[in-house]
Amino acid sequence: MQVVLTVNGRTRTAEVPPATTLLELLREHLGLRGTKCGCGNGECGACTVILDGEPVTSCIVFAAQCQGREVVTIEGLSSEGGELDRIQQAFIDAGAVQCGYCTPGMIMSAAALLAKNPHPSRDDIAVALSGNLCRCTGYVKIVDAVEAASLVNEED
Amino acid sequence: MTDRTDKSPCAPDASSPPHVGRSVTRVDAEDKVRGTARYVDDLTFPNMLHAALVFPGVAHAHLKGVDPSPALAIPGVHAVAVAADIPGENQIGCVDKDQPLMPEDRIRYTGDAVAVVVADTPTLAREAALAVRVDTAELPAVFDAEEAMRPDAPSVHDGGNTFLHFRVRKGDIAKGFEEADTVVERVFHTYHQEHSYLEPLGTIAVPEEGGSITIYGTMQCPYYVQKAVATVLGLPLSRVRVRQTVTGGGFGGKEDAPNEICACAALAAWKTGRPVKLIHTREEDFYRSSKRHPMSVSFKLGAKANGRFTAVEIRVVADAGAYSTLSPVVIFRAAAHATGPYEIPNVKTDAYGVYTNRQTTGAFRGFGQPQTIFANESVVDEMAERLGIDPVELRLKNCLAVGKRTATGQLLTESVGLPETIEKARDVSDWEKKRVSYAGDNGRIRRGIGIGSIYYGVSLGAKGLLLDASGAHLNVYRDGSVRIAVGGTEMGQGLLTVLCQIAADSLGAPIESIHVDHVDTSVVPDSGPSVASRTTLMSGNAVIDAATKLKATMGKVAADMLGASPDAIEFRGGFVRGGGGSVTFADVANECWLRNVNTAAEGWYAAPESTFDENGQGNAYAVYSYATHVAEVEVDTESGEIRLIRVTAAHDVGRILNPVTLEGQIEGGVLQCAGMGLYERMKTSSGDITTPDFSTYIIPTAMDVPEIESVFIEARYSKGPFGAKGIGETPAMPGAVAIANAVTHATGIRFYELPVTAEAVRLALSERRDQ
Ligand code: FES
Ligand code: FES
Repeated sequence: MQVVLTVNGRTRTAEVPPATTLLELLREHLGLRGTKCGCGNGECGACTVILDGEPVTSCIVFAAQCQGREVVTIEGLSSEGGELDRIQQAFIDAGAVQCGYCTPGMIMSAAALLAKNPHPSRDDIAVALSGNLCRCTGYVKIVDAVEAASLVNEED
Repeated sequence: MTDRTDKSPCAPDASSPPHVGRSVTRVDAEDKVRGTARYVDDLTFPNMLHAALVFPGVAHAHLKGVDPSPALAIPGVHAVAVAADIPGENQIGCVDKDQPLMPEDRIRYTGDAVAVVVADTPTLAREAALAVRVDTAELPAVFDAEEAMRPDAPSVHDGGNTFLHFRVRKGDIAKGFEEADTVVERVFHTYHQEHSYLEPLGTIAVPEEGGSITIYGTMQCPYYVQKAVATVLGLPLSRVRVRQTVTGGGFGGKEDAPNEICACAALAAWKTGRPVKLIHTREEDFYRSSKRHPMSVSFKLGAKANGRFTAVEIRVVADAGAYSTLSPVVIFRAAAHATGPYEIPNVKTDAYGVYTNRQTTGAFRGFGQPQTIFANESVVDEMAERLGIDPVELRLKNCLAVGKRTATGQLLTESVGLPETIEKARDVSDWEKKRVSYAGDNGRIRRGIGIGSIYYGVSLGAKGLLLDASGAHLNVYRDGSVRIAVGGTEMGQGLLTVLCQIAADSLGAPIESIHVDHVDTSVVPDSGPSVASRTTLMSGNAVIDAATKLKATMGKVAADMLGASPDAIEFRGGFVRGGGGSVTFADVANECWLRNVNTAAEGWYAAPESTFDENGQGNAYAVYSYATHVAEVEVDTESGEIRLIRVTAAHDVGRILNPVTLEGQIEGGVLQCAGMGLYERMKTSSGDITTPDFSTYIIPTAMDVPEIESVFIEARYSKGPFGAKGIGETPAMPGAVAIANAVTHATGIRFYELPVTAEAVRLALSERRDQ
């Protein structure tokens, strides 16, 4: 089947088998390998992308469901090699990255949060990230990073 | 690279090194936040095929036959590799040779795979794997270690299930218990814990020209994989090149398990002549990677009325699962440390490793110790209560310090920061006040504060001497840039960054000019495994060794350039100074190139001798790291729910190399302790895992994070890089028992198994009400 959707601002068309997930579409068909697979069951959040403004676990969304919709992945947050998005920068500055496997998904969940709630409390942040597992960091510096990013004026 | 000195706990002075001790930003962070870091599943090769494994799914059976023909009939399936296809030896055991890559006649647990199916896509390979016909005849199985020790139990391997027994004998326990005024004796149980690194196991095997093979994969121990693949394919080690890819967490779980998955992919690649990718699903990872050993620990401690410990008697039974893998090293560690970090004159410890038909167990952060720590630190707490002594005071009275001897009779001569970890944890947590005020809670929510202290022999110790050396290769290019290869792996802990710091300061080169690669076995000689908190110590020292050699050769050229004597040359911060003048590091590198002087060097570091005789006496490890955690909890006395509110984590690390990465290690460890203490238990039923995913096996989330206060103690180690010791494991060790002790403080009820679940607390509280 053919899927036409907008990915990171560009219209993309892909020919995929019917049961293809959004995660497979992004990784295998569109070559966007920044989005990770940690479980394939919607349980770890590593595959989080933003679909029409909502964070979704792309491993349990079918590509077919994304027909005509808009997807933002980690690659869409900043241009290739260009300046980092404030959340990406904050993750680096706060020491929120260890093995990095949860990182793209975490950052997408954080981006979805900040788009809706520009000044979240630490509890708001923890709730928004509670579907994203991280086994390395203990989450402290991740919450620090999202909090710091929320304080950066986007216009700066 | 930015240098964030603001978070450095000790203000750098002129004599302190420019980079070591500072929060240098992780060198791999940018790739990781952009999503451009390349993990194994992000790589592809031309003509690559995909593999899936065939699991009969029985716990113990005769394997009567494997018929791949139904799978081979499916279009798009290229091959099915079975044991008979193995050109070399069907053997991947890490220490003992008891584990076939694929069983030929007997299946010993539900994680045994009997065939590798190779197809055009991963989905097709999985479908075809289900089509392979496997004929088995079930055998009586054993799923409990204590049962497996009985003479009439089914044998998992021929010749009895108890395959390991480590003894520690010191003094005379009969006399010791006679001298005791109080004796506490209890039995403790812990269960399988899953590493739950976020990136599942995976590999790509690529056949190369000239009969070689290259293995890419997520792993902690590339040299183990090299050996396993060479053995299975019957190749010399020189024909097997292993390249570690960016690794999404390990925690011990990627120590032995990569041997299996990589050797399976290698066999498939060998058979098809094409690159083969094999990535586990999360469920396969649960089934097929080693867990934390379930242990039962009987612990008997005697003490004088004044609090002095007189004797301890310990029996540890560890469920090793179907194969021994790393049990010989892990259970040795459990035995050597089982008393806890105290000087006790009379010790008798017996630790047994036992085969069962369950998942294999091996390394998991803490390496066999967190289970015995739960026992010893619970008993010490109970002893404190019986003697009417504060738990902190009782620990201080008995704890190890310079001049004291461990259970193995080892005299500690340096770098023992344990007493300071206890004192600092007490003071920073405000222990004395809270111990009293929390005890006054009488509402529905009760608070509690508890403590746990540990010691941890860094690196492999006396049972891992053959593996305990590491190499480094430093190459200075003519423009002054430096490329470093080491044998130790980055798995998320921050090794690459810390090695950049160590290299910059030991070579005097600008830190921006240094690049450290992930491990490639074709570059650095066998450096042993990246486990047991040994990597910074071993690889760090190897880098320093290479840097020292390089400075000697480059220093001669610099002396000539500056007209100074070679003895007067100093390398620091990107400059080489001497005789009143200075040139840049890059100038010297270029001059060496012009003069045909070699600017590459090999570094090597071998661990000091350690010993452990048949009575468990000797210098078991060269040096120990120490830690104390104080945990504070709120217990809902109606629902039993426990909320971890605060953890004070005091660690003696020898020397802080990078405060932010160190803090990150500690915070991650604290949450793993919370998991072990409160939530995590991988359940099995007749060898099947009933919690094979993250909706049934619960690990802590961002909503479970307590306030964490990290406290660092720097008791320098004379043989460590800049005085540092290992830190990888210790953050994941004292917390679980500190939580259990806090729950006891809150409820007055002691728990003898981990995790302490809400259910267990609710049950215990209602039983008490009913009495
Ligand atoms: S990979 Fe999608 S939630 Fe885990
Ligand atoms: S950094 Fe490793 S899982 Fe989050």
